[in-house]
Amino acid sequence: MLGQSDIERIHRTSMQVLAEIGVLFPNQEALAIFEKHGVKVDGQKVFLTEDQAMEAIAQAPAQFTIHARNSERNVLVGDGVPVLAPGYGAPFIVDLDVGKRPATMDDYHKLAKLAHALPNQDLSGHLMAEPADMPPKTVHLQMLHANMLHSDKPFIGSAEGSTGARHTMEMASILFGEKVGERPLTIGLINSLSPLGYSSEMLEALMVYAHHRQPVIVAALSMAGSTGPITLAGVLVHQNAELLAGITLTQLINPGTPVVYGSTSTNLDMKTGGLIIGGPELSMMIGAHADLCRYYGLPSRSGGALTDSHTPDAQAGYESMFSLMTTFQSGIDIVLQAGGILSSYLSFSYEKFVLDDEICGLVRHWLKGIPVNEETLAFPVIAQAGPGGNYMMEMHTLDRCRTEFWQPAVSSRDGIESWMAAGRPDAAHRARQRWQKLVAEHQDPPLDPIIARQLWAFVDEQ
Amino acid sequence: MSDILEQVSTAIIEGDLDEIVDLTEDALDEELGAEEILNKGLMAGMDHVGVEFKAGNMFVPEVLRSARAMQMSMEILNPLLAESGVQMLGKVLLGTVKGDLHDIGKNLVAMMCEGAGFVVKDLGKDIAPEGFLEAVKEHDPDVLGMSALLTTTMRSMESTIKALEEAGVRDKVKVMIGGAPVTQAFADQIGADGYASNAASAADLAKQLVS
Repeated sequence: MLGQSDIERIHRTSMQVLAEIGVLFPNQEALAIFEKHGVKVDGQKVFLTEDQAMEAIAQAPAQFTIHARNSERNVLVGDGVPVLAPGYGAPFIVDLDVGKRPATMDDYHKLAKLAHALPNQDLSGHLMAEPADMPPKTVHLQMLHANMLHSDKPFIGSAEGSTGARHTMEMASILFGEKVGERPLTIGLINSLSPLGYSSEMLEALMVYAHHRQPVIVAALSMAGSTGPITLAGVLVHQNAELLAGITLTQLINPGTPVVYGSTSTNLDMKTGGLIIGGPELSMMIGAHADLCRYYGLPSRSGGALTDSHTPDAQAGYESMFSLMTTFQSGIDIVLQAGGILSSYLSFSYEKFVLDDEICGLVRHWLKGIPVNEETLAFPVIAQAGPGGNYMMEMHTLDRCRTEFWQPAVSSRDGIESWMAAGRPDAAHRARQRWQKLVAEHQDPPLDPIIARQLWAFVDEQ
Repeated sequence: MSDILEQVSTAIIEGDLDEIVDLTEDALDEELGAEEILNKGLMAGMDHVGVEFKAGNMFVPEVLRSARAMQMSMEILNPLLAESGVQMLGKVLLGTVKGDLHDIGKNLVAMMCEGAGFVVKDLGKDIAPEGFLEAVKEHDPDVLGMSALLTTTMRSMESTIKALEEAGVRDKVKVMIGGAPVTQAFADQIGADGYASNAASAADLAKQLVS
């Protein structure tokens, strides 16, 4: 998306922002850490020199593995192959029958089961939809517990201040039966507060993760035209400054802590003031963000299956496909929001989750490309079939007929007559059948009963 | 209508911050009353802005600049209106809650409430419960409006209502809340007097709350 000279101009301008304008860190402990390392602090504002920032981020690893309780499900972050995770942070569910409604803990359990079952979700998630029927101060425990029980994929940790982060460390320690700090056992999402700041709560969580040497995604969601300049280059400048400042803090606390440089910054609709995640601006930002990550040698997080539509309709499909293709093609390393999101992040939909996972599979297959080798060039079978021949019953075909092509789980490929006979179901209704079946058939992956009891006990105690 | 009122109204529609103060003073020099300038100049302009905004013909930054122009004019007119005993609909105090910098919706609510005939005091964004409490004591508003865009910050609304209760001023003010993750159920749960889902309905709600 960006040329080398553009990247360097963005870099230089953000260094000027870091040194001259500063970034707000409203947390005494964080400010003390900066000061201890010779960083200029004025009130709650931190001013980093280019050398200080670059030296810090150079210590962050370019790649790391997040471990799962089932090691076959470990994921490598940072090789340019996207690691996919479900939607994050939606307060509402959109239901095909009633439309928008608050999410419940029952929804959360179902979504955790679905995240486990869907083949293209690599992480089991966290905060997919925020249960409104639980006490807000402890709901993160219930969500962590649900993801740990229903899935053996790596889980995302809580960033609900220092409490959420500490609970995450303690539960990870129980789940893996080891002291947290040796290797990445989870990953947390730390959001900046654009422009040029962080909330104290997020900083508390960031510091707990860094002290335990657990990975964090430090991410911005700046909105061009309100919390950022209306020009996308300007957004790249200020978010770069605020993110590098946050990443610097992780490295000052614990050099070598895995950290991902994240952004889902996008534009606002100037007619309504609403956040827009289904437009071309978002996809431009995904591409530019990936370029900047490569420039700094940091793993990247951006993109997802994103849409402004309120229901899994054609708009949701084309917007989500567009952002996912851009995400994959840009070589983004970790993709939160890869399934389920509607209404510009406000809603989660079961059906959309299933449909997005289908798109993830399709795009993943497309990016594998066309392997060209002796076997695939297929000269012997072309000779065998000869002019006017048919390949259908050749062993070359039979051997590969189940594996060579991508197989959809939801897309309609039956003839029109059988579709008519089935009551003309659209994609959303076929997706509903699929998620209901997957949830009904779900079985929790085996977990040592002692560990299971300890987890229950920990959650009950809090 | 006199030329000068027409010009005031145009300056509002165009969000002309350079001219609005001079035009307001010119209108007063022409012996027009503050109430007449308000109703036939400012309100006439804001009515137009409201209609054009709803129709999608005016964009948010343009609308907010119009609202700013109105505020600049009102700073001159307010003391005169008070002197002549003109009754406004009431006073609305607004702010975006602690930890939240997303104030577009709140700014639109301010604009709509002004357009509806309220005196609006906008505290800005990132306002802690104590900040709201102090402002309620100082400005004695009829309605307090709070906004939040983040699920993490909306809980601060509950803390603010508690702070008002503890200080014994909860009964003196009606509380309305709004923002993307906020619902009527949440408003009921935290003991707010009302919830509105968009700027126009927030102004209607404020009217209801003071009637």
